[in-house]
Amino acid sequence: MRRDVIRLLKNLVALGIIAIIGFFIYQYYFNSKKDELKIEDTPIHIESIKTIAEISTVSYKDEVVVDTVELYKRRSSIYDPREWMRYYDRNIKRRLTLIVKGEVKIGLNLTNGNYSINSNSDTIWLHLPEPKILDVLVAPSKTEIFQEKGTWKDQDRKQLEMKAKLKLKNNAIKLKLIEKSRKSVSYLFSSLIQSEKKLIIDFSYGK
Amino acid sequence: MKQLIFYFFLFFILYSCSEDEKLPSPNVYEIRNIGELSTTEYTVGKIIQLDDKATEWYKYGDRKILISTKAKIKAGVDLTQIKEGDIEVSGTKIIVKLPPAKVTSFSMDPEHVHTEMEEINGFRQDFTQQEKNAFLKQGEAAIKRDIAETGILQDANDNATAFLKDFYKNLGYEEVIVQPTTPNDAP
Repeated sequence: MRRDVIRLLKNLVALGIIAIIGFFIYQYYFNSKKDELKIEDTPIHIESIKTIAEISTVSYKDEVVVDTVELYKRRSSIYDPREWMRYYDRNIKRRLTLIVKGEVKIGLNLTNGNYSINSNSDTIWLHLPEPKILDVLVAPSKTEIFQEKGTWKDQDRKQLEMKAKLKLKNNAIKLKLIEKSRKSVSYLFSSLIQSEKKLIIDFSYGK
Repeated sequence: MKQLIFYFFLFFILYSCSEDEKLPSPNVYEIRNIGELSTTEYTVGKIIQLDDKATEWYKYGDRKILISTKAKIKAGVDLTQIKEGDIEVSGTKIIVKLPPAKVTSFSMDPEHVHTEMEEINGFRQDFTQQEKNAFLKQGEAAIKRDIAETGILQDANDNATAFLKDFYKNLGYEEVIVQPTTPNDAP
């Protein structure tokens, strides 16, 4: 009888230990109801102020997915129970996937009087530089870490974000948005220059 | 043989439970004609500071992080908001009424984000990239909130006025009056 009681107590203690360990594991790794950590209130400091004159005429917004995967190098053995999780994970050791929403702005950079105007009695000639990509805008609020498996360095994330920026830029070029920008520039300046004279716009300035 | 059959079934169960990791399909892109004249560019820096002290009894150890970041903000006026009645021409005189200045672009380039210090002790986990991105989002919101107090919109108004005066003078107008709308005047 006494032996049974001792055995029961031992079992209860063992169960208790298992439950405590389980609780810790759950809290550390699986409890998704963590409060969002708040950053401290620090001031911003202005590093530079520039006077510019950029006219954006086309805006292109897109969402790109960038991904990096590291697979297990060594072939696994089906007989080794330690390696069974590999099959479950499709042999993927680490994976980082980002969804980046960005905006590309295309237009003219007229900073420092980068244009010229000539006119006579019936015509105005507006010489402008070629439209180009002015900005590829990305920000943390538009970036989602879709999947993070394993440990990743800042540099890895940074490389993916740079890849996303490049993708957005290349998409804008493929969509021939610089051509589209030329048309928008003509339309915009026609509405700004309200004159009875004929307006001729070319994109030869600085060539 | 029995052992082999057991392993086979176990592998089959594990394999069938796993899901293919499908990448999300991106949404359709958007192309718009705009007409923004950006006249001022501010580069601002911010140190993102976080001290994650263990608050629950079962956690042991602290985590601290300092991330430096830079944001590039451009401000100017939306030229497409200039309506027909906003430009008045009489001979060699022109009066242009400008729409209110606004922030035209905001970017936090990943190249300018650096983790300056990261300290983890006790049994705490390292900061994940997901957590760091959440801190950066908060930093971005703080910059957007504080940037209005720097006078960027006033600079944008002044520079837009100067640019348009110069532009219309080059067109041959002798008297150019540009009337900016300050944010307080805006409806």
